[in-house]
Amino acid sequence: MNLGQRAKRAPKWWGDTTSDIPLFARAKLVRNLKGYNFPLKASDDELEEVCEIITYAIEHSKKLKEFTTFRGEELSPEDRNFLWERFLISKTFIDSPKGKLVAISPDEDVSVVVNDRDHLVIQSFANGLNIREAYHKANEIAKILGLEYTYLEEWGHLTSSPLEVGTGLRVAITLHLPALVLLRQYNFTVETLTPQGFIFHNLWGTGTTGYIFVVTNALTWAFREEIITPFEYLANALIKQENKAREVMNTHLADILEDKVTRSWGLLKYARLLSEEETWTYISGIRMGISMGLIFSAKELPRFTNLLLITRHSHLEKRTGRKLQQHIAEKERAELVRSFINGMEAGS
Amino acid sequence: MELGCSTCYETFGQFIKNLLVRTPWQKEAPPKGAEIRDEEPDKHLQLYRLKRKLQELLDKEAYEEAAKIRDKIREIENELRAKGQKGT
Repeated sequence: MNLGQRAKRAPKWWGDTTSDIPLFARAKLVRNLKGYNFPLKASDDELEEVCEIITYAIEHSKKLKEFTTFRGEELSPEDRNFLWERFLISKTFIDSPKGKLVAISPDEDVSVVVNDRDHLVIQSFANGLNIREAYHKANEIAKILGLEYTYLEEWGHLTSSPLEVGTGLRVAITLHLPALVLLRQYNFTVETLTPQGFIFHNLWGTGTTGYIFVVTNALTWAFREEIITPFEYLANALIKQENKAREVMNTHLADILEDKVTRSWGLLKYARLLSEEETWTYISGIRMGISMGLIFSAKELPRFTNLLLITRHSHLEKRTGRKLQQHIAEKERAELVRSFINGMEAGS
Repeated sequence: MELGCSTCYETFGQFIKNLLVRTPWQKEAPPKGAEIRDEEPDKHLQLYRLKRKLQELLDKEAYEEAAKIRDKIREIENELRAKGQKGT
């Protein structure tokens, strides 16, 4: 797999074509092999054996044969950062790659990570709000691998973190909620929903930077339907609230809204240096504007969604093929965005 | 908090249960293992171990035992092939 080529476009599951609010759904299954200590306590030999067993299982199943496998040690820090930006590996994998392994599907919609915090973490992604599709893909991989997982009748599947015991299933939806933040409704929403067993965090950065948020389930020791079904209601409720907030802005604060959208466009078009945070904020403004019919036509939406991912730091490094200092990266980013917008305006 | 192995769940069971608070809209009791599990435990791990054992036996030149293991491997491989899980 050529990482440089991949840096030029986002994977297929990234973004929804019809709306700017839902971005993608993710399902994560955590499993450990029977008869081995969890990675935290396991010796190097044990980790090696777990790696061998899972590699063997991947190589010997028809469906998983096409997966690209990387050993942690083989990947450079830049490669690991790049895979992390694409949500395929975790932060701990970047910091300590030794004895770990990652297998990635050709479409990048499934990743299997070995010996991270647990022996096996299967992640799967789907467009928009397709939580069930993501879950079924992950579950299918767990079945196809055909390994015997450590399991107790009382608990279900055992995991190194007790917060993931039972189903070992974490599902997540990613939503773009700028109007809720701008009308100061977001914190209230989080405070209401956190005691109900949902965890909110920012997709990138801290606080409300970029206005893109991930909601996951706090409890995994629950019936599967108890985990998945609430998300379908929750997603619809949040989208409804966001749309309502946009309506309110459109009616009462039209000048502020319009300024936000056009200012974003102007800055993206003319800025010579763009930091990551700035780029997310401005693209967010434009995506909201497109959805509300204020700027550009709806068919441009996926292109801006794509731009969100390919302007990240490691993506720029892979694209240019060299290591970039902060300042140079900001320049490259601004150039990329500018050429993209100019190309788009010339085309339309 | 991270645990080291499955025995931890037996030793610290009660402590862990206190951590996992269920919300009012969920069923009162958490599910049992059988209600969660849907992957059937399968044969790749077993197959891998048998192949390693076969190699060991061949190195030791214990051909009689090796033949038994080889038959067992074939049996499992055929079973997997029937399920369409094995490529060859």
